[in-house]
Amino acid sequence: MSGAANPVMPIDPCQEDPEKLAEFESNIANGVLIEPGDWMPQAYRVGMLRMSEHHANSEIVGALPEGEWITRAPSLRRKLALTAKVQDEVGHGQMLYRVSQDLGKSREDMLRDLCTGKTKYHNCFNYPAPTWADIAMIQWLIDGAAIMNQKTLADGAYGPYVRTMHRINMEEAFHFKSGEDMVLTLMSGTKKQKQMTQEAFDRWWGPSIMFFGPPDKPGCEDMPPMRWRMKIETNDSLRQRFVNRFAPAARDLGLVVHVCEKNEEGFVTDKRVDELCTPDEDGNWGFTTPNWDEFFKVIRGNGPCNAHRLALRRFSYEQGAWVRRAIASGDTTLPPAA
Amino acid sequence: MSKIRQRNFTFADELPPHADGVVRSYVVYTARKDDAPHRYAGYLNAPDIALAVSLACEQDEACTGIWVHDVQEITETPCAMEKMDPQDTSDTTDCESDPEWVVFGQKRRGDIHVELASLRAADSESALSRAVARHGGGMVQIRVVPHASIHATEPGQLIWRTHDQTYRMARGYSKSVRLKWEAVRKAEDIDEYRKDDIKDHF
Repeated sequence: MSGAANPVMPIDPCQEDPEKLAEFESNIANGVLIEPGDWMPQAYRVGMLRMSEHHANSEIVGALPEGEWITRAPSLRRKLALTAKVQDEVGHGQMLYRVSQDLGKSREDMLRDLCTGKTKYHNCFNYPAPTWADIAMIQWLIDGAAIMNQKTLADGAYGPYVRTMHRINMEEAFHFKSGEDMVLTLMSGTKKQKQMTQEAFDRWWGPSIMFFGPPDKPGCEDMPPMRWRMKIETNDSLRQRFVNRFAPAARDLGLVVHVCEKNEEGFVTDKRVDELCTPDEDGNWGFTTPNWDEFFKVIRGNGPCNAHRLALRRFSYEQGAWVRRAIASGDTTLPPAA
Repeated sequence: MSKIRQRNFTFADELPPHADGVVRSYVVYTARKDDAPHRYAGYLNAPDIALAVSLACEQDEACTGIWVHDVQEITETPCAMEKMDPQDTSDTTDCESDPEWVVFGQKRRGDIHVELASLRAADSESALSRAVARHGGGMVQIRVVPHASIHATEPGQLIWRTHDQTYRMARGYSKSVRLKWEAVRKAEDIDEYRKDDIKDHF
């Protein structure tokens, strides 16, 4: 599962040596991959670090809502698959933290900054997953969105990140197929299973549409993140492709796209059919603009599950401190009481 | 839901301090067959080579051998923009008393490093220049690592699970998913939908 952030560029590229910058930009324009030992503008280094660190954070926090369901999976095969998926996600975090380490920040600092809320992870993991159908929807819609995004990121310019994306995508394919299978199974099941799936779909359609980030600003194609191929496709273009793929698939499955009102806990309190969700003459499916106020509220830490996810991550970090001490220095003092 | 996940957490104000001690970075290579070259598989962090090898053996891709070495042992050329030209390969005499070095090459930027050969040389500098001369043609980067610093798994040390693991692979679901879609969608709609699937997967 992913969630590479939109890279933020806090440093003015104009401060860089113009000759080196020109050569760097020419290499990128010619499709040359940048390797860690190459010269790169400071803004590129900082932007790539933020992107890969955010992505790594998202991988390990994303495993939390799914991890809650391992013990309650409906069959042994589903339990094995979900366990493997959670293991994969944590492994993706390990690979991406390694990419970030090469860009200049220690793994320990990254884990601590995540626990203290100094760095973020993807917004979509701050929503509740109260039923097994939510796990199916996370794997179908959120992993489907992640694959769409990561396939473009695998065409980026930073060699280590690109190599990691190829490896991650091969595993994401399993997550997505497994989720697809779960949704298809539930929708060919009993009336109650179908209702549970529709309710989960209502909870996750909105966060999936918001997955690709806020609407693009004019001229974003010429700004450094896209000019330097840190980001390949605009948020709006990815979002439209996602809707074009999943809206007709959902309709054929018997699911209805709703515009939903949610309460503070992330549960739907009111809904109406999204009348815009039909294809236009070009084959593009319409959709109601997501509630961007909600998006920014969750980013600021006030979403339904922000506090709980961070607390669980921090609890896990503190409980794991004795393991890190034991590995690093042989100190096997017992952990604090759980 | 487990009780731990339901509880309200309380914390001391500060995070526990960093763990003291040195955790080093190691590079891992795997060989898929007995006579196949070792290929870069990734990095990992560990306090020593023994634990690094144990962690490396946890990876799921079936292989016949794993090499692990400290990242500090690498001597390599800068990653070139263009492939290096083939050079004079007439110098093939190695002094048997010199230490052995393993040569890895990267064919294109973004590619992984693959084992090319081994040679003998007195130090890393001469090992690298010999490696470039003999094996640099067609590569963008050449890397040498002292053979003595590479920890290789013993034959039989790697034990791969032999039971069905298709539950953790995309291909374990492809057929059943297709059949289920065919019950509710037209074939052309399924094909259109599947265009965004990942084609290269386990």
